[in-house]
Amino acid sequence: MNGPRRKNGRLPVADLLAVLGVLVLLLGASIGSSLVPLGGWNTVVSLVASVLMALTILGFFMHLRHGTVLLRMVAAIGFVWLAILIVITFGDYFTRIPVPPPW
Amino acid sequence: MNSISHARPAFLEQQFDDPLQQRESSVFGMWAFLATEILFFGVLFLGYAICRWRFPVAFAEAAKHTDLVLGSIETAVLLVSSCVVTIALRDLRLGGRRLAAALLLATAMLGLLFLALHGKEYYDEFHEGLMPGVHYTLAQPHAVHMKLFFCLYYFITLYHSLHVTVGVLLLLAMSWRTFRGGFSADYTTPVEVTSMYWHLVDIVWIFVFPLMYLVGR
Repeated sequence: MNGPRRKNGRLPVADLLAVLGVLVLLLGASIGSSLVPLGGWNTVVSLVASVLMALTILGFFMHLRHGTVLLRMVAAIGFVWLAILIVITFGDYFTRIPVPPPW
Repeated sequence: MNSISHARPAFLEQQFDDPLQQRESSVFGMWAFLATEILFFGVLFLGYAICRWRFPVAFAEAAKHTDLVLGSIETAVLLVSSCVVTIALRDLRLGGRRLAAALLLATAMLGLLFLALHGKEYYDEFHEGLMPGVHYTLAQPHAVHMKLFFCLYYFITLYHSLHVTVGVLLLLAMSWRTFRGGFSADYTTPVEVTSMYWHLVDIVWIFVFPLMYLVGR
């Protein structure tokens, strides 16, 4: 099954298993960091690990590394809209001045 | 016109000029669908973020009740399944059939294992009284706000499990069609878009896991 390295997403099986190894390592790092008292940084560290895992899957398993620019844009658009949604929503929560009812 | 239609492969739908155009259109459409899925789960994650920002202590307390060991195993199972389905697609593209069918079946079985493990979690949580509206027995100071965590936990994980179930059914269908010779090295598009769906299910869980299982440890 180990054919030559090709650009169209046919990575050798050994490479795919190495990618899986990286994912498991990142999962271990995420779990391990949660057991160390870092305060608010625990969530940051585990979310950074999650983002790296997601990018690894997008790039290697979903073959976006070799995708066209158009395909990458379509793939990114969901995440971009989600980022806009989160930024605007929290922008409201962080800047809202509580107005007590008049009664 | 007739000479052109005779040269067309059987799998090529009439609206496409050639197999490459059909494949690229399918993959493009699948990414558009996955974008809607990202926003579907994204809204639930946003709801989680707002509630956790408002009630950080209650969320940290509630998250301690989730099963870290089972959650970690479930995450590892989905990561392995993503790798297996990628190897299956690779084998299919290189002209394989039986191994690809077996690997697709193995991916579906890993999905079923995930569902079984999560079902065990739900069973345990029911007996611990952690299900708001069904069986909720927590009475500590933050118990009311902890309900919010568990509501979001069940909303997100149940929707995710529903997606896993759909993925398992699709993988079983793809495995059967692969075994029956329905695909070839020139035609793997249905398997490819199914694997994309499965990877997205995996990515969603990668974010569910730290937010639901690793908080407050």
